[in-house]
Amino acid sequence: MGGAGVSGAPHAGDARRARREEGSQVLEFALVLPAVVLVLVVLLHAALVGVDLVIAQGLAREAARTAAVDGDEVVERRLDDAAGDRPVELELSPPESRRTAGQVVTVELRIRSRGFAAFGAEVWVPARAAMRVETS
Amino acid sequence: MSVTRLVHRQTGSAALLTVLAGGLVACLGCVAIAAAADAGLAAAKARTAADAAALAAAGSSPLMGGDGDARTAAEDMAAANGAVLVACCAPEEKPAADVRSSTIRAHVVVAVRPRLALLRAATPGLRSTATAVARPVTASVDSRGVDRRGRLAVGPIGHDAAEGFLSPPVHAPVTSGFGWRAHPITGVLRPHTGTDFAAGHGALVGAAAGGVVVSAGWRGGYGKAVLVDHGGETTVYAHLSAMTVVKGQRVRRGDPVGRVGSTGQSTGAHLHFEVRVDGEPVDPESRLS
Repeated sequence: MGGAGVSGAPHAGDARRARREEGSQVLEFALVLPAVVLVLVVLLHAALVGVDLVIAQGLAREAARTAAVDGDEVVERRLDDAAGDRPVELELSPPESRRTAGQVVTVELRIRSRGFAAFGAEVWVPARAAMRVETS
Repeated sequence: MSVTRLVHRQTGSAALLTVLAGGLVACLGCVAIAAAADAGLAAAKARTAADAAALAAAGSSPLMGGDGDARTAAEDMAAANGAVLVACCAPEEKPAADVRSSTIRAHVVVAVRPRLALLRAATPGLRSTATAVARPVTASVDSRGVDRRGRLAVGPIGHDAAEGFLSPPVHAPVTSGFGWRAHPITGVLRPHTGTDFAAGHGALVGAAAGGVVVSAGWRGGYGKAVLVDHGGETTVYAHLSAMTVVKGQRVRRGDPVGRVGSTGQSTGAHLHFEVRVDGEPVDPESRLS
């Protein structure tokens, strides 16, 4: 496209065209950048939910193991320590009063994920674990 | 064609390409994240199932008052955790004259299938193995000498065959056990919160299990002492002549934490070994393998 200017001297036309192209690229970049950042942020939050799923499973495992060996009070205490300030909903079955050695104790819990919290959304991730009761 | 139109057309194509490329990257990112989360979750579930199955298999031993059907117990427990039992050996039982000294080890392999079809095609299931170590510790013994209400060793049961029990910190005779005794210096009757081992001066002291050093320094009557947190329980190694670890250091089972000495309130070289559960001293000999 070198000298095929539509008006003025060939060199002046090239320079103007180059400036216009540069301007278009800057505009494009400015339009696309927010979308790219948004996609990256959404991916990051999705990854956080994924990590929290694994964390919740680990917590459920420890809770089930503790419930199988100690009482519900110890489970809640350890869960509070492990989960920190993250809200946890816990359900143990059967209840401690009806738990006997050899039975299966099941823990179902949900923790509030850090994922999408910045958008004001509450994402709860569930986990479940079962262990054989060891005390009577 | 005018240059202006050409530039506009090129800009439009570039923008379209950018959007398409961005969309593709976003889709690939979503798939990668979903796959990673699914694989991680399946591995975590497999670990839970393996531990539960191994514990159930060990607990089914007649020594523990069970029916002896380890495989069924392990299968049921693996299924309760969303896994499939792949292998379960017959538990290795070591009966002893005193049932509380008997041990049972059970090793299992389980597999958990991922949810994503993509991963299912790639792997038949994520496998995990675990070994549970059981020991009857309650005193309810029936007419056959079997502890009907036995329980498995308390503590984190991991993937190490020896987990669940503590290893002796030194190999030396016990000279003073846990419980009430006359203090060797003051003569006053008071509880002895640990077990003394008569190891020679300078002998290496090993960590009883893996953990994190929470304290290493002078602790009054304990002299030079090291405290290791194992998650739920803490072990104390006191009257050391030297410490080979620092606070915050991670140690594995058997790693040296110091050398036997006679610092603090001590009448001669020995190791004072303590086990604390939730801060309360318990008899170390009931926890040693």
